[in-house]
Amino acid sequence: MARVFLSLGSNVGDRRENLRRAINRLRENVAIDALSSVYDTAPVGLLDQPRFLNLACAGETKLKAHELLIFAKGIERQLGRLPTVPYGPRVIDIDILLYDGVVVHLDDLTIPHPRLRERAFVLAPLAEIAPDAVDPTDGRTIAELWRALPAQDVRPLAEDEGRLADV
Amino acid sequence: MWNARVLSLTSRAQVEAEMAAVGVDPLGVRIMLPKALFRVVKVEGLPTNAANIVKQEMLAKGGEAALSWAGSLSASAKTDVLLMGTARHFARLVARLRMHPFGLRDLADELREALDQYESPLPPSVWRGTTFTWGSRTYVMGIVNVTPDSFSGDGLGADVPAVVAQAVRMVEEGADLIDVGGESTRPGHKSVSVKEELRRVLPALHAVRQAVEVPLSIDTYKSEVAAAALAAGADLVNDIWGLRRDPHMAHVVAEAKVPVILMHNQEGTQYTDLMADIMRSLRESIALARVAGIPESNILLDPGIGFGKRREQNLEVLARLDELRVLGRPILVGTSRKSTLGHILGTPPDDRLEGTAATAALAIAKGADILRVHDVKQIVRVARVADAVERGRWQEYS
Repeated sequence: MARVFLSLGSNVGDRRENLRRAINRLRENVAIDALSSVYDTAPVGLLDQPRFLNLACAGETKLKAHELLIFAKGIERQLGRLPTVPYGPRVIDIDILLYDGVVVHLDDLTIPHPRLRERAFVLAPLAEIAPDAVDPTDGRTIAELWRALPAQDVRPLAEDEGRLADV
Repeated sequence: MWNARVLSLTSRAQVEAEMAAVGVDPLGVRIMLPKALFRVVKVEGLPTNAANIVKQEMLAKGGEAALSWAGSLSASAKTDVLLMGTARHFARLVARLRMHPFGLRDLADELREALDQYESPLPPSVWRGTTFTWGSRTYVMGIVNVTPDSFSGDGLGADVPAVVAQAVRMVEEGADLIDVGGESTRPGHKSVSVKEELRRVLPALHAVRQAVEVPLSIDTYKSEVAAAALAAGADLVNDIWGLRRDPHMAHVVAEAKVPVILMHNQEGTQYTDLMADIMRSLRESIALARVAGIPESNILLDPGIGFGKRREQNLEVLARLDELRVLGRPILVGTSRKSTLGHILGTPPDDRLEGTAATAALAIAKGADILRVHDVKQIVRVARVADAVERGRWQEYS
């Protein structure tokens, strides 16, 4: 079994429902044991689009890293049949942040996720559930990466709406 | 004199025929058949304690197991193991291992699956109304290149009528499938954009689809090209990166419910153990297909001769092609006009027909199911003769 950390985001349609459905689909192959609050975040890159809801989750999986990537892409395809552009609007976006402390450099897969160190919408939820997890490229913890990040427009939703129902 | 001979028997069917010729009773055949064929199976990285149990059990069943001398001295080490025995020995070993701890149950299941798949004939596939009865004969796939820069000098570029004429001629010459590709995959060649690849491939596919009835495959590793090609009439996908280059490719194939050819490929030519690494990589590609929901019956495998392999590695893969039968899927082989042949013969790509023919015949002897070739007319003849020898198929051609 491998321990994995994933980031999910949505800014199209019922964003909360999209996150909920994606998490439920992920459970088919990932035994999720930690789920962050939901964060309301400003879009990055393409600014002229709705705000995102983001969260992070952690769990154990039997899938190899590349299998997990394809599994996640399948969920993205099935929940949101829309052509997507980089940084553009999406029903659901699932990124593999960390996989069992390994470093992967394939054509279609880089672990740790290249945005891990620079995006608050990724780091804030992850720091909430796994502050002591380590970036295997330089040994820094997620808490350290988070503290090193300049302030970005990322805010956790209030407690009553910051948790997903039924997940 | 008793005329003692060593028989050339490699399959159950051949042994069964010899037993029948001797006049063995049916019950005797059933009991003795599993004792007639000897197999050597290699497994990797077994913990030493497990390996020692496997060795004891295999010896107790009458077989043999070879392990690392150094590994057997160290309690913490791992060792590869060569298991040697008849089908009978392996069946008894598997039954026994299933009762042991240390993950030996998993090993037992893997051994049984490997031997089953190695021995068993493949069920037929039906694509586009055509039945492919694997093992009964060799199928030939004609290569249609719509690139301006194919290595073999056959690229037709944007000349759609020429592409159609070539496809029609190939089918008349006996091609069972046509493979259409829009990106040269010769080593070191730079890739083309999705847009450019579609611009080359789609008009050709549309036109060829109108002109021939055989299944068409699209030679691409890009999911957008595959999706558009399937919509334009292609029936299967030939992915030279085995679903590893584009995470959407497996889903495009799964959603279209079409067959896919998974080819072994890698950057560079470094291997720990050539055949072991190729088998592991193909198994990984099969696992990627499974995650996306591609049924195993829609998978074909290609060891990728000429891709990520040096000359002697290409030759070794060809010589050991039958080892891929353990994966239990039809095997496609492409040696047509490739540089390994050029190195041996000292000839340019358009003068490698005899080399292609020699490797085609050898591939058939080693269990190839489909040959992907430029010279359809000639290789169809090679396949007919090789099939007559190897698969006893001569009546229908006489």
